[in-house]
Amino acid sequence: MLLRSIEHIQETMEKHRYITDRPLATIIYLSQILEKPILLEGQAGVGKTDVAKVLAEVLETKLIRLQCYEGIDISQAVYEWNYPKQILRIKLEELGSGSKETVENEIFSESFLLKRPLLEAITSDSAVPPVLLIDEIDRADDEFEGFLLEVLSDFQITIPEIGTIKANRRPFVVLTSNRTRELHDALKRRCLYHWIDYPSFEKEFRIVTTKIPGINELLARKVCNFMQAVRQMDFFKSPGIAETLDWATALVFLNKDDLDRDTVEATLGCIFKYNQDIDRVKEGQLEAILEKSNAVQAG
Amino acid sequence: MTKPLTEAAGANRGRSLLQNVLAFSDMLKKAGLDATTGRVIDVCRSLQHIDISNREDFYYALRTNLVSRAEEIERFDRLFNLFWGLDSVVAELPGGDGDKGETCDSLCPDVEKGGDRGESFIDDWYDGEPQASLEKKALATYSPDEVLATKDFCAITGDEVKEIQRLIASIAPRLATVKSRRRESCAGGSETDLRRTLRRSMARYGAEIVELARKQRKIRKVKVVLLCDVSGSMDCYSKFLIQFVYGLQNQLKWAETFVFSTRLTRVTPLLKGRRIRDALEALSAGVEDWSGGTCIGDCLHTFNERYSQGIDRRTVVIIISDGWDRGNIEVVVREMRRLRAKFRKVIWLNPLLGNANYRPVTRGMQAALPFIDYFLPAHNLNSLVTLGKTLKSLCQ
Repeated sequence: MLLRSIEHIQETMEKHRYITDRPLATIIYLSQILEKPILLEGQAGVGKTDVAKVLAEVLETKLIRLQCYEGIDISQAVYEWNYPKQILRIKLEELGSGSKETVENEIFSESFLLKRPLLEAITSDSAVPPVLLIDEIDRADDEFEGFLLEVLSDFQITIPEIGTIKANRRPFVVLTSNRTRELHDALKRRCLYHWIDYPSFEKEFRIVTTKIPGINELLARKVCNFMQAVRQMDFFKSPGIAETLDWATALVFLNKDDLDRDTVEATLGCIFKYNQDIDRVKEGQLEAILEKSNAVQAG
Repeated sequence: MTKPLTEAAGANRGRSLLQNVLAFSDMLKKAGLDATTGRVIDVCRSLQHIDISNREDFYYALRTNLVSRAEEIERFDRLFNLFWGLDSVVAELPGGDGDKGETCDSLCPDVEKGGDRGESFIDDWYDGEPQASLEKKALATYSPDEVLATKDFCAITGDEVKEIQRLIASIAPRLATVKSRRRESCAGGSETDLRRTLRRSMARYGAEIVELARKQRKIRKVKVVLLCDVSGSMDCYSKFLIQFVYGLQNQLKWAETFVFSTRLTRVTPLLKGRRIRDALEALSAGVEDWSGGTCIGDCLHTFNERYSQGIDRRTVVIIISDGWDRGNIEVVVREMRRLRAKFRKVIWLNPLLGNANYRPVTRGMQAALPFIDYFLPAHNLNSLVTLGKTLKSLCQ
């Protein structure tokens, strides 16, 4: 399946229950045309990772995910030799009469290779190229970033024992970063950059009603108003869309169709992940936020 | 020197879209954005595929190609509106009308002026003659004479400045390394390197595993955020410390420098790619309230809100301040707690600690104390050595 136009992307992603605003759709469209990876940055919980997941659904192709972490290296991201299998093969050969060279050639061939996400994405022979999600690239270190740069510019990987493997078709690549550190300029130059902000009220409302079909419209409005108000304030960790959805789902399960103080207090854990934030809200700001979100509602 | 940006934009404006895209990219480059040729080519390719009469699409096609960090978006927006504004800004503003505020210089804080980087800065700090010899720097060892090592920075005179600079430059590179989680092959390492073991066995022993290859963790450098109080009495200490960190910058994986008094200002771009003297001059010029009063709490708040995204548990924050605070103490407490939660370690340098009779009784200092891991003096060279050792030790 091909992404035909910006509108087409918005439409199909929405069918898969991801509300895509026009800027993001534009960038996805350009990414397909320019064959450049997308680098998504934004606060936690604004749906960066979901872009790749939904894109894979839309394109009806495989999602290959590489979760980065500190210390990730080639053996976890690209390939690793299957050592136990290699050793077994060597032991078996001791009974036979194969020469040393034959054994060596054999145990360093593709069937003794364990493919990790990057190699898997490049060697994929599916009809539609896979979507490669490189999640939280900022957690990996410089060395890995340098290596990634090489992969993302040529879409090829060199394995000393085998040779260079080149992608038949370039996978669709999405990188996400939470900005725990600055990425290298060279890597950024390879990518189309997009910053995903917290959603507007309208967008958040659409997201909530799309993702939680059973929700009462009035409640959805109140929840979104509440979240918008909370994000205007100053907390250790402002809640993202993920928190909005968690909270709204919880309220639906609890059969609540209104926001009152008790309900909100009991479910604050869905919104805030730090005790000090919960304390701050309870200490006096809760009334103000509730009033604000209800006032907006009334108006 | 200070050429209004509008004029610059107008001068290069062309008739065709391509010419305008090039002129616009040029303007971005001058404003410090990374508008490389490759990116501009991608802009042109992008424009072929979108409806350029749709302003939003046009804007995002340019932005996604030419911007690569969130902080740049605001600058990009201003320049975009200036250049692609619906009514021509250029026609409205008479050339040289500087009071619109948007000048090349004000928008281009980090235009590189001197090509010299890093180590060569030291010698031409005060005498202005670039006479650096890198070999000399590389071999320089730390052996300060007693007097200099213990002399208070505020009492240092013209001749000694140079010597102090040299010493600071020579100790900086030795500091601050930390073990990475990445492995490298190494004889006598603590872990088995399976891959190398097998390769070696094949080559040497005909597939019999005789010898185990080893690997161990690499050494890695620590990251530092420096928050410098530049109000009144702190001025001279801060300058030395900024220089110390500047010397570290090439050695550190990552360093960010901020100065504060009533407001917090990020000065990392001012320090990059310049000789230290130019850098400090630019600093004094670029920071409005240098040597004013202090609002530590508010400044820490600004830092936590706006700049703390780059922080992880490998980052150390160094605050240099005497703790005199005119602001709200509760804010200091709250923001110090946030710092403590984010950083690996919080180091507070107080030059007054050099005085044996000093007690940290000011309200600001009292409020901050519970959240500090290391409370150290910073009034002379010896104290910088202590700081260096501390940085090194806490990373292991």
